[in-house]
Amino acid sequence: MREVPLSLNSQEFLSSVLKEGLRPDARGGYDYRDIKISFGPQWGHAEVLLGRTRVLARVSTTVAQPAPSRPNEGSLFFNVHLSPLSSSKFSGARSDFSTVVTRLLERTIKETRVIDTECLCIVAGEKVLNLRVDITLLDFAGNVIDASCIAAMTALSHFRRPDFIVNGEEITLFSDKDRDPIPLSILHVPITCTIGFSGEKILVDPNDEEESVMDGYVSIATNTHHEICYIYLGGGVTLTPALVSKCCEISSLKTQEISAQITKSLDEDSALRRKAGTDRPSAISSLTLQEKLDRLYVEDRTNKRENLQAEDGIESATFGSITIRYIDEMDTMDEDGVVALSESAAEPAQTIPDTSQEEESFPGF
Amino acid sequence: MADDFKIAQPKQYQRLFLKDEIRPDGRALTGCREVKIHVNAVSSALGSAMVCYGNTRVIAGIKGRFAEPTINNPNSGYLIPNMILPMTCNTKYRPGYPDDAGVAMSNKLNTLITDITDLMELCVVPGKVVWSLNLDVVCINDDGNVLDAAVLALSAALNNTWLPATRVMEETGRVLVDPEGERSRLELKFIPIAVTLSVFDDKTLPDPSEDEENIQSGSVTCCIDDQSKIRAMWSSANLSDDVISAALVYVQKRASVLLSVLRKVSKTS
Amino acid sequence: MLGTLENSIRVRPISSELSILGNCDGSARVKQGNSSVMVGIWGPVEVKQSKEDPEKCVIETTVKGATGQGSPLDKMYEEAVRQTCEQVVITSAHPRTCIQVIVQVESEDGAILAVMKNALCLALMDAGLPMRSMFAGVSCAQQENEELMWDPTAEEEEESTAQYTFVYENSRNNVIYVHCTGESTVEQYMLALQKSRQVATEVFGFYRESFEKLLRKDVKFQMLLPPIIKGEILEEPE
Repeated sequence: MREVPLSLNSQEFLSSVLKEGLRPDARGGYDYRDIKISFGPQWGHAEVLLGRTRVLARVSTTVAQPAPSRPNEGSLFFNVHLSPLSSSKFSGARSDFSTVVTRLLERTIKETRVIDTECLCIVAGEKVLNLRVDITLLDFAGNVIDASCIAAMTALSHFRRPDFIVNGEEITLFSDKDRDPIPLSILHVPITCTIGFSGEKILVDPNDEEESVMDGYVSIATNTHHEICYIYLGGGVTLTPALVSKCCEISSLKTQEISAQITKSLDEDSALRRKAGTDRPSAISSLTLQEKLDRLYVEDRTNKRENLQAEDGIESATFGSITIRYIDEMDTMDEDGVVALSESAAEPAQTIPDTSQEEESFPGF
Repeated sequence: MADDFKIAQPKQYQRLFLKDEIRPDGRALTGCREVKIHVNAVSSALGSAMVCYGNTRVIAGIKGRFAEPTINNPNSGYLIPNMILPMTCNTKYRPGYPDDAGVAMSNKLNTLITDITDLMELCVVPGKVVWSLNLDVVCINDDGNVLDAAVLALSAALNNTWLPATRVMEETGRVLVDPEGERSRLELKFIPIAVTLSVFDDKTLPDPSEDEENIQSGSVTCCIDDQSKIRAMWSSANLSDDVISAALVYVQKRASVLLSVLRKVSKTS
Repeated sequence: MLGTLENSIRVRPISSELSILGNCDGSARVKQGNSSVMVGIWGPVEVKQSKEDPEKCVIETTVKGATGQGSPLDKMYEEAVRQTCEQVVITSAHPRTCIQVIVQVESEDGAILAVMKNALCLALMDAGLPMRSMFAGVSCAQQENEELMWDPTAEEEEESTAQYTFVYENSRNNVIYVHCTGESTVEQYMLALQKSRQVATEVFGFYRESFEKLLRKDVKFQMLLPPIIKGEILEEPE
């Protein structure tokens, strides 16, 4: 099926609006769209809604022979499927973009040793558990990279592998019913933050329209320890070292925010499962679980909104029902080269439990 | 003239015949094409059969090899059916890679034969080596109703399958086929027979030819075993309950005829 | 919902979300218990020249499982979805075009074929394609004690001796698709066929509710729909 490109008028409008520092969906330059994380009935089934971009992640295991080079480690495999459900520009077949996302996830999650793969070994050199993460893009509205990474990390944190025992030569793999499955050992949580560039302006979490007019983007994966895990520069844009370090600061901050949300949603899910009387997902109806999660999410969101609005000192203009907020001045820098972020972007750092430490390492905030 | 009419207006052509209670190839409305079964058609296979439904010709061959069992079922062997619809049997199939229709049909055969034999019987060394039987069904010529022919060929082949004796090398632990040992017959729990009815307008026509398949509004395939139990049913036609129960009566009658032929062939071989 | 069934018939809670995908022409997600399927429709759109049919539109189906690489079973589901579409969609209304049906299984816990068909029907309606009738899929499993169990979980399917999936249409109440495996007698089969029709009737009622919920958001339809008695429709099924 043929892809429908953005009309010339829309393109012109968008670039002129972005030049003025406005974003079509009334976001600030550093704002992410709403992130909604929900879980399915099985372990390792997570769905992430980033704005309207919807990504499904499923984790599964198989028993296989290990690679001869690493006889006592299981492997982690990513499969990114850009389903034709999501947009007319994806045919469902492997494309350049799906390879980009797969590579990015591999570099970010597999090669930074997020999962302790030695825990997946059953009998060294003979049998290991292999992990497979299936990422399916269900709806496309820009920034597939971040949505996929959040979904993959959430699903891996949510997943529980089957328990096994080895008795001589006999291997017994227990079903979830016979023995409680075991969570994976996750060493750190890297999250990518994609930042688009349109002329002088930077756009955190670009949506589909912005993606079609922006010059290029950078995806930076950082973890909660303020470590940079991977940087990917896409779209053929060139950056100054100062801009790169500024983007790294933004990414680090957003990672704190997002990983806090992942932890929170995981806690909520486990609380719900416990409340349902059992940790075994098959015993609860997914409908009620889903609905409860939805409700929690809605309450949480409305609270947040109200708080935000109360403290919101940013100038905003309203046209009918559309609110346009001005992007904060992005080019102001201190003498030290540390970026001064506006309040609204720095504010969510409150959700991070360990703020004191952060202030030490980032005197700019 | 008649040929031109058939190409331009295939449905009208069919209707003109059906009005006179006859089908274009001269059969009565409930008539079936001649069925031929030839068992042990392939001498190198453990069991095989060739089946003809009129011009439709299908060959089934069973080949065994040793395989490793799964962790969860350490004593169960495998039955792996594979339906091959090459382009040479009908130009509607694409050359090269497996056709979707073939994969879908392999699945149907797979669901049909999952319980056909005790998979534990295929165990050679518990937890280590089991028989994996590849059931290859190749269509030589597709003139409609390939599924029925494939099921019949598969049933006839499985019913005449002999597993060779095996022995384990003491030093290496390797398993070998023992050509001098006594072969054992694969015991079947049931023998499935498939009967397909093609639905055109308000008529159900058994054993459709390719021309009839191209214009049908849907079809019903029912698999009945030798204990007259339903083993599988796939229907994609708009049918009322009365039509279904009438079809089931017909299917049972037809299946018992085919079964008696199959039994006769197996005895003489 | 699903309250008027015979006592012996029990089904898992069913829920739907319509038009949840922003880019597709029609989409729906149906959850029955722990089984969840998303269906999206593109169409009628242009068709590859080699597949073009001058008399009707071509229906292309893709079925994707939730985990692992594509299993051969997906091809059978694709065939099943296409056959049902061809029975119901008035394909002659859009000659020389193509309707793409994409089925994404999100989680699988029994009765998956029926869930697929229900999601398919809602997605086709959401896409606004001309149809001869609606249809509803019903799965049931025959237990060892010859009792029938509707809308089985994967575990119940595993333990059963026969599994049936029927798809009924609602204009003449005929069955338009049957998938039956396992071992059953003719009598048992006919009983399952007739009893499952009751569940289908309930599913049609569920479709109606789902669409009322969707249309209520649209000002054009608000006048036409009966007013909500507080809490009646939004109540969560127990």
